[in-house]
Amino acid sequence: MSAAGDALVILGGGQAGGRAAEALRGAGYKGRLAIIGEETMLPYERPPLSKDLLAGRSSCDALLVRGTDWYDHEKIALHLGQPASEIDRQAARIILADGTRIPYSALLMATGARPRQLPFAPPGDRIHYLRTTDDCFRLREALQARCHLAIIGAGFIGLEVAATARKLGCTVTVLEVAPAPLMRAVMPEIGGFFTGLHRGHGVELRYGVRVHDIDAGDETVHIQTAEGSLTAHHVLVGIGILPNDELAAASGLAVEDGILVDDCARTNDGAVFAAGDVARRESPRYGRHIRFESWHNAQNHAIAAARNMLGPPTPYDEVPWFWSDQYDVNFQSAGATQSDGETVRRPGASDNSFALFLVEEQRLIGVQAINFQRDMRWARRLIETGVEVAPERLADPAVKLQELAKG
Amino acid sequence: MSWHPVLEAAKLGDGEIAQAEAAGESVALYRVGDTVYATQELCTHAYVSLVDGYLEGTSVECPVHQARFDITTGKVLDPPANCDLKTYPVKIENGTIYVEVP
Repeated sequence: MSAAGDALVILGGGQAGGRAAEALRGAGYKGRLAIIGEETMLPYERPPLSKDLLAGRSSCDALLVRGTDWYDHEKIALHLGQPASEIDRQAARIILADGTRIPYSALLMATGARPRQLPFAPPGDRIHYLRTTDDCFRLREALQARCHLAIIGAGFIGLEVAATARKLGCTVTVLEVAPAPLMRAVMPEIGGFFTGLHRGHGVELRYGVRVHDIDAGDETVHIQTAEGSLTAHHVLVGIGILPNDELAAASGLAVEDGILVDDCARTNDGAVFAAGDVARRESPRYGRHIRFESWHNAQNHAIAAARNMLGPPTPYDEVPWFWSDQYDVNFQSAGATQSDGETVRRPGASDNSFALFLVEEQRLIGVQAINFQRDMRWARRLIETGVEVAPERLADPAVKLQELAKG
Repeated sequence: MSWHPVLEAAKLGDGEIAQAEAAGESVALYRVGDTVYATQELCTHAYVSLVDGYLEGTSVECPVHQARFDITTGKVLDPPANCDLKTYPVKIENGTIYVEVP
């Protein structure tokens, strides 16, 4: 499958990078393969960083896509803890910060994303951001001291950390500039559910609060808002992520809040591909380019990109899917998150369980659901296949989704 | 190795999965037609119970992250798992399912 001169390089040592390497070897590519990553840890999955790893109930080893032995056995050159400083597309090589040059015949950009920072709140002893295991361990130390944690941003990172911090006995205050939580990602009823959930667990949630300044002292941190100030021991800022697309842009690749790729993960350079958090991919399903920030996309888009690096163009346009675990609640979302069509509510098996279906022209286009794991597979299949379905049947818990999915 | 009775065969319908304990090992039992297969209960990726998974033919899909395994061999079919499931010999005698564990 590979010519002698082949050298595939994956720039980015996160989940997408690891899954791409696995898929390349799994597809029978035996040529040279290298992973370049800024972090020193082997590629790992990040969801536990706000949950089990943060709570001290998991270890780093459990997060790894593959263990060290596998990379040795598969002869994958690992350049970890080595940031790249340039992509020289003319010479088809990556230049690392220490000057090392790594040539490629095909390159996968899997550089991921980084937390968006508040300009007045650089990371420090009492000001936390959460993206890496190192971030997680610093925050964990603070939580284990049962501190008062202020969280800026009621997104998934903020709310998952709030749940973990409450479980560890911390006092938690969440400040959110919007009037509701998770506004970019969920339907209003889901937002209301999470507000009730966290308040029920003793989290103080304040909406419509804009933070003007943060002043970290030796023992405490002071947060200035329009209404006054709040003093806590530590603050976590979770206000979204930014794609790591600067090297790509500097090398002349097409970038627009993420590296632009077609539905075969190809950039505007035939030898360069991009996948995962950093890629803004063409989605025929939605008729536009979209950047997805999820575990599912990091894995499956990377696998698709790997296939496209080796073989004939194979389009990838899976229905987006993500989840969040908070306390004993599992939330999942698949497909569209907003619609001009109808919203259909279906009660679940317990009081604390329901699904909201978005229906357009007798077709399911999206679902958001609480404690509805067992039926999510069929809901996702209904979205994928686009079979006609009557809204009243979706709403009726006596009608099995599995049956509807079979058409 | 020894055989352990784990479940009445009549309690496991075609296409169903059940959890059982055999000599301290937690196993998932799967019925496909007249045949019953047994694997370790927990997915090798994030240790989720496969009893809540989806059985299609002789493959089981983890209900949380969609890893898929061949239940006849334990082999991984789809990521995120990359470690195979343990499988156990199964026999049905006098209407009882037996699993052989070390």
